Amino acid sequence: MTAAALFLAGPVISLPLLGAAVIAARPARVATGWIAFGASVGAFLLSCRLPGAALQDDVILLDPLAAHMTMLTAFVGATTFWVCRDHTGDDVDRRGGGTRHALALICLGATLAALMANNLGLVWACMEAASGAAALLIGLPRTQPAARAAWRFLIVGGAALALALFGTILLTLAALPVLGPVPAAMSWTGLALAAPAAPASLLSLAFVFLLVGYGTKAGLMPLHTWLPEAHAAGPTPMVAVLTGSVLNVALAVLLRLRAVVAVNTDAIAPGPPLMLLGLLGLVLAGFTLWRRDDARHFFAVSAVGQSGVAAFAFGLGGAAAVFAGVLHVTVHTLARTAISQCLGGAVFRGGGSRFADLARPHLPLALTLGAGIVAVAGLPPFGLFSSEFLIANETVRRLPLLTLPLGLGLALGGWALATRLVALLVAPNSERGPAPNLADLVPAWLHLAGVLLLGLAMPGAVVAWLTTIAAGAS
Amino acid sequence: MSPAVLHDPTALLGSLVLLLSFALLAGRHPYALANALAAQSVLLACALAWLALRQGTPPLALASALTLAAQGVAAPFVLRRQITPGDRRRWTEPVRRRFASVVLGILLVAICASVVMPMRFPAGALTRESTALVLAVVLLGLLVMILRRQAAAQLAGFLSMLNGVMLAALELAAMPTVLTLTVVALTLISCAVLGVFSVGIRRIDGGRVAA
Repeated sequence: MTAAALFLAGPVISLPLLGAAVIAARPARVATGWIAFGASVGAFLLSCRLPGAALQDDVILLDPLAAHMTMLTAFVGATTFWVCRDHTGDDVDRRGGGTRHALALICLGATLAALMANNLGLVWACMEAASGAAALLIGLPRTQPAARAAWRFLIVGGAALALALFGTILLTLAALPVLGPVPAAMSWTGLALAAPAAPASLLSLAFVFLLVGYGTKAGLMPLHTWLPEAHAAGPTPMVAVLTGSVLNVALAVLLRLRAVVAVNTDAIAPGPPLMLLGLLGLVLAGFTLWRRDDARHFFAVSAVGQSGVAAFAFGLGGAAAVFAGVLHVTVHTLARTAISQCLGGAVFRGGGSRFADLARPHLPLALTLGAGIVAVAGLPPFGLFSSEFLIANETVRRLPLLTLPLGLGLALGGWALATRLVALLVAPNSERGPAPNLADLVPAWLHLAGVLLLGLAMPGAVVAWLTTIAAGAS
Repeated sequence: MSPAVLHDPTALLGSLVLLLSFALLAGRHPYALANALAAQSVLLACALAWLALRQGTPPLALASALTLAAQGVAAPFVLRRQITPGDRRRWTEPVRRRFASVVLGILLVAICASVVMPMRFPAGALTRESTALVLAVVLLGLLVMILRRQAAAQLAGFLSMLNGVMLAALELAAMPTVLTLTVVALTLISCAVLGVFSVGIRRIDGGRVAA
């Protein structure tokens, strides 16, 4: 590892882990939330140095994609720790707050490390660490649903990661004759060089296993079952946001993997399987949404569908589709996080997580939640409309037949969301519980403002930045 | 010594591991699963130890001891401890499903062989036969996890899947560091899962997880 890489990436990864260590070692439970918030904000501020640096060595890869995803994850983590700085707005029991923050910080640190790692083995190890911390976090409420969700998360995620490791071993074997020493054969940069000459059959087999493994972590449809349960059972904003970050890591891995395998013309074409899984997820999520009454389940299923849209765009390939896909991941992460952050307060005040119980808790909260739903539904003023429009546009241009399932899935999901929005807004005003602290809503407003800006008037610098990412990753 | 001769003991141990995967698939009672898992892990640890001896790599020997302790001794112990003598019947799976699982397993092995055998492999690293074998062990572990509803059986399937991945790493004998790291990482994971299982099993609906 070079000194420059250590200087740039090291603090971003180690600050959350350091925060977790401080929380764990501290004798009295004071300022847990503030320590966690400070550590995550520090990680975000330090990650803002990454876009300028383009470097790679045997451990760290800082290309535009890694820098972008790292900043996004750190930002979303920081705002969520702000909402969770004290325990109001959260319906889970308030004991064990320190443990919760420490686990969440470990999960965040491991996620950031996975995004910047230039070694498939390291990516795998970081994903495993993040999953372990997340499983413990999900099981923390010590209720039966939480224990079952944690077990499901652990066992499904564990199986997925075991398959991913098997795929990694096969991929290493495929690259080994070309590259020789092991660290190079497991690095993204080395694999990109080795892929054209690697044995095609081995490469294809490795791709299938990595697709199933990381596809499960990305919440792609037949393999998504762990996600809704985990979102519904754990401490609301934290689990939803952190498992959402794991989703993004897996999507980034799939995008990189696609680029590696696509180079070898004899190997399996990586696009169609990705597109198939993505479309399947989108359409099935569109149907499933109509049957979900629990708000947390509902938004988790919606996340599965949106993850499918991103996977579809990545599978489509080409600079324009990857541009749209990365934009989609970005705006959806922001909007989804805003909803999760509001939902904690809404569920807490409404007395239950079914839509009927949410019953328009308080006006600012309800309006923010409503704006979030409009954003996730892909309706015009917000950024998801732009990204979905770009993806649909690219589909019409290149594979017109696939527009049908894509449109069906988007329309079904958007319609289901709009129905819930109307129900939420016409419900009687319950005004139960204490009024929400407006400071807790600030992150959600910040996220939604970002999504709105990206939808209405995307700054030229952002366009140039996303174009760079797409050029590097396609 | 020639590489072909050196390869033989691992190949034999690998086939026995595959056979024990079937024992896992057919086992009706958690005791049977625990025994099959223990035997499988001991075989794997033997293969690792043999490789460590041949290559003279102490860390690998340590990793093999770790595997033996975690997968071969601790895991079966934890699995057995979950069953109170009174409710043995509750833990026994119906026979019909057991027959179907074995047939499915045989089909799966056939599919693995037919997928891998026509492939072209780089010389030296991994043979077709061992890839097919390892693939079958991993997928049979997955099949156990999918077919069983009990948390204990799912855990046994998961651990057997980890054994399969370790066996795959074993084939990368030329890279002892990677192999050692893989084995240690997987052993840590199995310990973590075992810990969660033994602490939380009472809350995971008395050992039953709806799929």
